Amino acid sequence: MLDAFRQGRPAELHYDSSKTRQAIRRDEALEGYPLLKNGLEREEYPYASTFEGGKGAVVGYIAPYEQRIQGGELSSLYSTMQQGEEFINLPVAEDEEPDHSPARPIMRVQDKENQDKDASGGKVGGGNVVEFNSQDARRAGMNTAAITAAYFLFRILRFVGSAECGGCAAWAF
Amino acid sequence: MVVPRGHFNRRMIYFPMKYKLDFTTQYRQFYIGDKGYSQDTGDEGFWTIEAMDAHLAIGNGILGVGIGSYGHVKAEVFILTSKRNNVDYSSYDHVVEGWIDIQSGVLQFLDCPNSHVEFELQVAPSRYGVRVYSLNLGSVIGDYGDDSYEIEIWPDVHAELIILKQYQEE
Repeated sequence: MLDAFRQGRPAELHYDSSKTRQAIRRDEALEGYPLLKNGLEREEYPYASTFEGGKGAVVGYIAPYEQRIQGGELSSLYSTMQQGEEFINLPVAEDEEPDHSPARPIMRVQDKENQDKDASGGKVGGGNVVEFNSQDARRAGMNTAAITAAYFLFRILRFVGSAECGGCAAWAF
Repeated sequence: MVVPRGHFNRRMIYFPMKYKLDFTTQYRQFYIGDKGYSQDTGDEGFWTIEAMDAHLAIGNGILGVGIGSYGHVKAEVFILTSKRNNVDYSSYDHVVEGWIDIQSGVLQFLDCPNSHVEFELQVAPSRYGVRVYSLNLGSVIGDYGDDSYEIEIWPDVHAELIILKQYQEE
C-alpha cells in the first residue's frame, strides 16, 4: 500500500457497495499479474470496492493471512458506511519505526569525568554508566523538601522560644 | 396463573432442513452472524493465527468462515436438531467446528467486505454449534477453484472450537 501512495494513489477513497462493479474493477486491476508469487496473493490499491479502484491500481503480493485480516478490517469499516461515503487510509506502523533511536542512559558528572579520563589515556575501567530514572528524581526532591521544612521549623521555634515566651526555650538553642 | 383453555403459549416455526447457497464474496471469507452482531471483524483477536489454521474465526455473534477461492461461495446449509456423529472425514479436506450465539432470533450469511445479507433464517435464540466441511480445496489455483462447503448448525450450549480434520496445503 505504501508503494501505491508513493506512486500517487489517493489516500481518500469512496466506498461503492455494488458487487458487480467491484468484481469488474478487481479484474481490471489484476489483469496481467500472475495469480501467485512465492505463495503470496495479489492485492490491489485503491481497493476494488471503491470508486477509485480498477484499471491503474497498484498491485502487490501479500501473505494469504493478511488478505483475510484486510477483508475483516474493510468489512468492519463498510458495515458503518453508505454508498459513496468517503474514508481515508492512514498507514500505522505496528512495530518500531526504522529510524527509531534507542534511549540513552544519562551519566552522572563523576562518571563523565572518569570516562573522559579513560579516553585521554588515564585509568581503564572507570566510567560507571548508570540510568537515572524518575524514582531517583522523586527521592532527591523529597529529601530537599524535608531539609527545607526542617530549617524553617527551626527558625520558627527559635523565634517563639526567644521572643514570645520570654526566653523560656532559650536553653534549647 | 390460570391459562384459559384453548390457548397455547407456543409458536411453531417451520423451515426446510437444507438450503443451497451460491454467492460472491471477497478476501477468501464470508460470515455467519447473529443479526445486529457487535463484533469488529477487523479486530486483531478475530482472524488470529489459530483462526487462520482453523479456517474459522469466532467472534461475538459472528463467525468468519475461511474459504479457498477468493470470491465464490458454493455451500449447503443443514439445520439439525443435534450434532451429527459418525462422520466419514475422508470425504472432506478440512472440517472445523465452532459456535455462535444467536440473540436476535435471526441467523444471517453475509459476504465480505460489504456485509450484504445473502441468506437469513429465523431460529430460536440460543447458542448453536456450527460445523464447516470444506471440499475440493486442492482445486483452487490463485483466486479460482471448485471448492465447496457443507455447513451444519444445531442448538448446542456446549459447543467449542475444534479442528476435526486439518487441511495440509501441498
